[in-house]
Amino acid sequence: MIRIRKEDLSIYRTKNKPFFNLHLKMISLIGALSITIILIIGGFMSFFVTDTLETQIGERALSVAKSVAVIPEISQAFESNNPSAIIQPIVQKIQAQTDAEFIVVGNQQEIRYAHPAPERIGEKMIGEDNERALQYGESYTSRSTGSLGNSLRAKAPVYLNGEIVGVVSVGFLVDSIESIIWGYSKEIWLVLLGVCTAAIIGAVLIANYIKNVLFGLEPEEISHLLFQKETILYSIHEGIIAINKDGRITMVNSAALKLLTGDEQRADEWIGKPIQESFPNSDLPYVLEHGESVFDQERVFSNHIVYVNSVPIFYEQELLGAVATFRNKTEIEKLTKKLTHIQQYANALRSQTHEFANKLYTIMGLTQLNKKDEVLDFIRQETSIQQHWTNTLLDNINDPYISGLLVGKLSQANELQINVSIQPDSQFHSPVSDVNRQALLTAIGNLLDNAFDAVYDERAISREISISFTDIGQDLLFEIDDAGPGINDASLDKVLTRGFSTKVGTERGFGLALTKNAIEAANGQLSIEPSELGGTYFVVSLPKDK
Amino acid sequence: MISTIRVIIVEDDFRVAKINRQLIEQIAGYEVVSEQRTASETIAFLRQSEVLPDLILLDVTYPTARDSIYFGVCGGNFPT
Repeated sequence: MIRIRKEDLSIYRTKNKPFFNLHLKMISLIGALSITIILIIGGFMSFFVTDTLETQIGERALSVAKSVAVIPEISQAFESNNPSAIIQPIVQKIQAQTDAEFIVVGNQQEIRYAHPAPERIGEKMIGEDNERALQYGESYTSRSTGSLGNSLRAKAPVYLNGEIVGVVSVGFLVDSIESIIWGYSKEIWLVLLGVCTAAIIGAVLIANYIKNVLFGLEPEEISHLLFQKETILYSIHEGIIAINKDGRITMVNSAALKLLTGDEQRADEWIGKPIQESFPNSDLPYVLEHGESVFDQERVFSNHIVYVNSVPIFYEQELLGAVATFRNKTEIEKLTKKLTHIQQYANALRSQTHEFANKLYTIMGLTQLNKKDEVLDFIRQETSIQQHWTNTLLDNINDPYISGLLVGKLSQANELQINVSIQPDSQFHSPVSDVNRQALLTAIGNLLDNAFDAVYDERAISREISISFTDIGQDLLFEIDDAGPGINDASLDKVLTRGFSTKVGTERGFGLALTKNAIEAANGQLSIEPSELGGTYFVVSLPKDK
Repeated sequence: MISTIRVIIVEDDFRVAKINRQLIEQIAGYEVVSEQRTASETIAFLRQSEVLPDLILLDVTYPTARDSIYFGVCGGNFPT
């Protein structure tokens, strides 16, 4: 089971992070973007409010100016001796009713007849913006600085008997207008400031969330890890298939594609497909359902026998998906066989060394005891026994690998004080093919090891093993009898299964299964029967190569 | 008077056992009371012995690991 914890991923983070890291970059970028957008919106709204208010105030001033200009009393007052005496009271009342800062009435020469400050009556109007009204009879708004200050003003001509006799000027001071505009836009800016603060808080939250999701990794680190992952996945020999928690394939590496389809370029055809459809006998749906790992399962994927390990992926207790890794069974068996052969040769060498040391000790002891004749007898005897075995095997077995293994195994038996007898007329004279040699090496090594163990059993009748081999006829035959306790009927079916053993120990149960597979690979047969010696009788039969 | 020292030889190779017996018997005051091949045989022998030996000449290099381990496990169960 793969359990990933957050702290496990911290090892991928570089120690000296740049100051301007992803977290800070995101906050700055999102913050700056939000502030810019808000400033643009705020500026536009301010402009809009200012423009609308100024237009409205201008129109209001203009309508007041036009209304004042058409009051008959005012136009008629222009003919009187003291126009301001009539005009000023009327204008003052109107000014009090409207919000206008000033209403000024002047004649053709721009001399004031009415003004909020009575002492300025009789003086010339200031602003120089009356020409269009007095000359051309237009009504309009303008911006100018008068005696009361900078103001937005509306001008309307006063007609008497069809002729322009004066001008009405209605004004709002710019300072007052700006304070009205500020009154409106202050609220807008406050709302925008709130939005801006929310945007910055949001930016920090988003940056924190992304930092958490990415385990604090910088984008460069993520892309480096991605390349690294791709390289690892595509350089290893194991096939790998990963699925997400919905059971859909998220990753297939080239080794998997090569093994399953023979084409390692078409990963995209598999991605996104439900695992049950692509590989109905996969263990991944089970793993996903139960959250348990399944190891060393023999499965058939696209006509290949593979060994599969399937494990769920957990992140902080949450099941994210599952991964299956698999290897071609044939490849593993080749490796296991090689390893077994090496172990067998190593055992043979070790036992020969031990045997040699014992012989030297015997010679040394006899010498110390001054038994010179016995020393000579012992050396002659040992040499002839050794020579006899070696000669018998080398004369009767053409293949040096098989005879070498048997010489080694006989030394081991000698060391274990096991009596191995080779039946007369045993011979392998014809050349042995590679496949048959591999099968025989695996079978002889494992079956003899098995027999050694059997005769060492407490229930064994004696430490007797008998072997016989021949290539007369159509087949290569190798037979082995032992005087061990035998295999009971209940175990007989299971004994050739990988992992099953009647013996105790962690590396047990592979020998007979390997032997069976090796023999089957050479189209041969392995049979097990009770032995005349009291134990088990194994017969290996391999067809000779045509 | 010093009594004879009783020795058991534990050795899987009969040739070595024979040499060891002859070498021990050359020394005055030592007597080989038994030769044993395996650990299990030795333990069984010791359990039924009325008089325990004074010395065990033990071969430590055994072809099968089980004998060496067996001694290691059972050795402490005998009175010294």
